[in-house]
Amino acid sequence: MALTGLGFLLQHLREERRDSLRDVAKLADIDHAYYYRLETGGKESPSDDVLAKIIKALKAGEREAEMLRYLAKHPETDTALVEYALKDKTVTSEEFSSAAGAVFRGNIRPDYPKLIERVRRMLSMEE
Amino acid sequence: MAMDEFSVIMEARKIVRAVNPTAIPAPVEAYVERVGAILKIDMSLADNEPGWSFDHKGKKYICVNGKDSPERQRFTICHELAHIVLGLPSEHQEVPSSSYVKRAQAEIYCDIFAAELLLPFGLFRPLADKAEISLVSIDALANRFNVSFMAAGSRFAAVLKAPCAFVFSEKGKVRYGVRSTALRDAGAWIAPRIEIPQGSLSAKLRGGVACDGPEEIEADEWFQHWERGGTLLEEARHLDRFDQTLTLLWFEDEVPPPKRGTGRDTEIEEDEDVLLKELDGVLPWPGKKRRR
Repeated sequence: MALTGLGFLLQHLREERRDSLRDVAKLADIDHAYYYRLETGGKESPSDDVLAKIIKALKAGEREAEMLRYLAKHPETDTALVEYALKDKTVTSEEFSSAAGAVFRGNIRPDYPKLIERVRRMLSMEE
Repeated sequence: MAMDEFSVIMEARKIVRAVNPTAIPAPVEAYVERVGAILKIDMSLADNEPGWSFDHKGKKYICVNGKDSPERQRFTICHELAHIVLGLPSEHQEVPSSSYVKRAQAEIYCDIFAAELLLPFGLFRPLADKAEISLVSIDALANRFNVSFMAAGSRFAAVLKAPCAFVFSEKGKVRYGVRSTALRDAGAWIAPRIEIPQGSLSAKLRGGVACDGPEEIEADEWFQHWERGGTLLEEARHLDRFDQTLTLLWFEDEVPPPKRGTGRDTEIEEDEDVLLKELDGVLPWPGKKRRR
């Protein structure tokens, strides 16, 4: 199990393509050991250049590419939110990053479906 | 730079300076505008959800529970402003609300920040210093600044020149104590999670005994490892519904009792040989063995 949101999403995208770690690393022209560490959480914040090569190698869609860019800069993001966003394809990359960076006063935390719903409701109240 | 209480206060005071509130209560909307956030009133939040904030395409949104009291809403807004300004995240998972669980440092910093905005030092301290030390004074300040009694009480003790402390206890145990600088410098320490002292007015109130006005108590009943002696005045309020006790402690004198000399200190003071020589204008250096 990946320890970071980034690793979780990288592994998901690679497995969806039925590629091996070496396949992706070769396509991205990066060290496969480094790529392995990104997936398993040993490394968590690749440079923009390296991430761009990985995104290209994985042929990630625009939504997933945006999520990867966000996760590379926010390694503390909960993997459970990444998992939820992968299941619910209606969650946009902006909604994903809004939910990931949400902060709360008090001890109560909404679950992720409720949090996404709240983000949408608050944004719909604009104007 | 690593974050600490001092840097949090400095960040909050930057905003207070920029907004420069001259009227009381402090203008929360002006703080929100200064930070560039968008305020939303959320009526769908549960009673125990004061508020939250998020970022969307670079815009900062603060959502506050519209069913909360105006005082609580104001504090929540400033707490969320702290998250934005200080860049502090909050725990993803639900946090147990037990009294024994230590609060996250980020949340404590955000509360300190909020208190600085709502009770600006320059406006609050002169009024606090002029007021009589009492719970009634804290009530009056809370009303005037449109904040909760708890927020006003904590701030009252923190800014007062006199030796004073405000203690919040829950279910018979101290959760936290805020002390004035004079008490902190004197080493008066109220340990969190200790039982409310048995002989205290606070314990009596919690036990259902009616009390009228402040009572005297030995300082070492409240302060840990306190060797200065002295008698504190204690005033308290117990909220039966939540089993919470709010305690105000202070020394009647402007300064805490002086440090009592231990046996060893006294010996040293009496031994003239270990004291520094009286200044005579002759420099003790360079010595005779000065290197050329």
